[in-house]
Amino acid sequence: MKRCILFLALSVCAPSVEAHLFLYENVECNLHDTRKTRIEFSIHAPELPTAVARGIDPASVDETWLQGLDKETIEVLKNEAGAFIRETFLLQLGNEEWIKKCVIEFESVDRIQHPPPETQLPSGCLLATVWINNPESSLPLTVGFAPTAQKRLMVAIARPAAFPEVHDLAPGESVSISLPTPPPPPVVPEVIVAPPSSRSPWIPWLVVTTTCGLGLGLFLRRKRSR
Amino acid sequence: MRVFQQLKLSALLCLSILGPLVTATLNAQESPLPEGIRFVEKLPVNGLTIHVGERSLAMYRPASNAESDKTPVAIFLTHARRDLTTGARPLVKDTRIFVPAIPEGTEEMAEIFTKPQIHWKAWWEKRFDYYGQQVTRVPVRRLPPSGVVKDGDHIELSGESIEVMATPGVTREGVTYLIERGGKRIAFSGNLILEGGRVPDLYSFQEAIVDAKVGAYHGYAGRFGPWIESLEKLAAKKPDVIVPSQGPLITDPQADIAKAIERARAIYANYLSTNALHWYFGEERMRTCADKVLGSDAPMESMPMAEHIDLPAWVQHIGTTKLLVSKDKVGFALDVGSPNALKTLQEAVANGLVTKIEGIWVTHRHNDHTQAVRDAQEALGCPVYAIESVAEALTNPGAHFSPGISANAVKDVKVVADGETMAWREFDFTFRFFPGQMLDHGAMLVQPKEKTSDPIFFIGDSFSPSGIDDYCLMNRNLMREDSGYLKCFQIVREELPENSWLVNQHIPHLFRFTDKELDHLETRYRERIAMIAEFTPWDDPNYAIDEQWAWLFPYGQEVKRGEKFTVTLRVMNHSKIDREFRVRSHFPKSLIQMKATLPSLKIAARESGELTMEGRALEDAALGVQMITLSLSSDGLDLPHWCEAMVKVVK
Repeated sequence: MKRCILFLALSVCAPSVEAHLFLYENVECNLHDTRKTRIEFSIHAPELPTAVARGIDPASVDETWLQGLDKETIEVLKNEAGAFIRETFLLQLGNEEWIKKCVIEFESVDRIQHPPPETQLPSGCLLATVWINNPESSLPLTVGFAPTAQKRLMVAIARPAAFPEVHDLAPGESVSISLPTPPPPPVVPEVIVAPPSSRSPWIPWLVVTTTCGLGLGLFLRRKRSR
Repeated sequence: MRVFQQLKLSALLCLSILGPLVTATLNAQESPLPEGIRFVEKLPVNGLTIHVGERSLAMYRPASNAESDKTPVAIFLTHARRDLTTGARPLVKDTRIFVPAIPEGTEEMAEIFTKPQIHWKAWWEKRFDYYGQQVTRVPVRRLPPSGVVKDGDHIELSGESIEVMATPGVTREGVTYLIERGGKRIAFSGNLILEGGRVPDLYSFQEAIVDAKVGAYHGYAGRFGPWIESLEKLAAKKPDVIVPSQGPLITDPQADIAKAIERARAIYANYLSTNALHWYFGEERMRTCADKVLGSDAPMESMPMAEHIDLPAWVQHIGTTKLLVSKDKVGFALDVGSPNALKTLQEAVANGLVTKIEGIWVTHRHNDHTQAVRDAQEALGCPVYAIESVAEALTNPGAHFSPGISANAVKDVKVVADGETMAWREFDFTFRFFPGQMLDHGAMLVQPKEKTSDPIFFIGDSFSPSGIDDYCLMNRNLMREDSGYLKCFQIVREELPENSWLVNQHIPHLFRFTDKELDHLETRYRERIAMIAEFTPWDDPNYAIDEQWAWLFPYGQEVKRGEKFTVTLRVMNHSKIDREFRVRSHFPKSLIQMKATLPSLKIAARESGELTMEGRALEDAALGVQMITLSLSSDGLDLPHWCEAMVKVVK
């Protein structure tokens, strides 16, 4: 159990690097937090319309490619990635189509261009994140893939102290994921607490007075014995 | 007697006068080229001189060393390959050189004619993790051009009018020059098409298909589409003759162009019919690829997906890593391709999902399988196993050049032989040489000792449920009975235990082919071998699909000033005959070769051979990357500057 605390949990399934990266779309569902689920999409930016229009070879981009783009282009790519996510993926909680209404977070342009080493995001990728507050009832989360998608989808589910659970989906397929139940709100016991003003001053005074009294007693005793 | 002598003299006189006339008449009838154009078919590059009054122009290189030919006013080059450019170098002082513009999007090649050292300096690093998959046989020495030509240019020179047409295909930058003379239109198209509707090789066509979002690495013959467009554009110009840079004149251009296109389409349709990418990319994207080459109405055949089921609980899928977990919770990893995969393995140990990881098997050389093996070995403290050619590249990556090699050298790799077995926990492993997705590729058969589940053959990246992973022509998928996919078919069909499943490192499924599916794949594949043999001029099709049949080891090395070094030529004789290769090395000024001449290299049919040469860096050698090239010749082959090696001189 201590190990579990020390090492939060297993990393989510790592997507492949470079040329092989874009064999699959990659979605990672992180279920470590019982209150909310983090869903990450690794979007291979060279395959977005702006990059395709520029004739970018999706296999040949390295970390310098995003660094070499201007901020406006990266903002355009982020918008295109957002639209692509909403068109391509299904996130459904019960009957609620989450993907249509949720906020899709992207990293700042600076972090996209200069990702910190711990990110370990493959070259040319944009990381998009969606948060879902886990429902109190046992509603499953459905992760699906549009029938018109042009790749397969690898869904990786990270649970504490477990191997990543992977699902390989063809276009049109989906997987149902049971989310952890959030802990009940903490019950606060009714306790009458004394006002701080009446509690704090007398203890130090008592300590000081006792110490001084003992000190004075010892001093007088020594003086008498001489 | 005197009469006889007089008759003899008269006859000789007649012959001397009439002879040339008769020959000229015959030549005029036979030669498809108009007067004033002199063509000599020769190895390695054809020569052609166009006489314009007292002056001359040359295509590729002058026709001969005759006084009238040897110093042309200008020489026109169609593409940026060393075999072509080295012939023009001696003429640089007195002759204007015209070269094609390097297309946009290939910035790394922008100054390949004027400052090739820029390209090669960058290449020292760029060769690692490389998935651009372009032929490296580009200039290593300067050839400063007088003019750079592009599509639509018209050059007027010494009274000759030359039209320039961009004809990419075999190369990205390829151009064709067109002239009109004597009522004939003559096209000089370099290596775009050879006589008989053939091309120099297949690997030169590897390219991204951007519309289908297919990168260069997965773009088998990806330049077939642009190449067909180039040929159709050329055919529309109705040339009477095409003068290629290699081989005989093309005297029936329309027929040869049609034949070449038909052959290319047949090869591409065949490739699509066995393709592993259907599994990943689906019908629509493969259709986009097909449209580019076959045309939008052409049928596209693909195999239905093979039977596939979930992985058993003892096989975990972590990116491109598979982790085998024994009953007593010990792990054995197959490939560690990314820092994230390593992190997952470490956390599995930390969380007690496995108590330790006892070994790592590396299936093949690509960085998505090897990038974190070095760090994994250090972090997990376990042995790394691989077949010999994979181990070589893992421990000394800079000495090898092949797609996607990681620079992260692994300290120690235990080499396993084909067929070697190992007992591990409740399983028996059998290691195999399995040259599927690439030549340097292994596979591992895992059989539970208690036969509690079916055997599983971990095949790296060599098959998917839709077919074979032969999309990268730089991966050396040899088309031989003793290697490549033919060898893999044999192993899968005949050498695996009954009910074996296959596992691809990217795919979290077990899958297996029926006999019918294997028949389909193998039959189609054998058909393709015959098609490629017809489409290319070599005596064996493997030369056309194996860019590295001759290469220099080490590909890159660091050498201190004044220090000796060795370079070894490694040759795979694909021919079905014994060959003797004559070798000539070309060292730059800063490096000297210890022996002036090299012995020839005799290699039996279908065998490999090597030849080592010694060199030394001069005390005052220029620092930085220096290029050594090697020319090869053998019966019917003359391959100037065919292989290269990099020597980085350091202090």
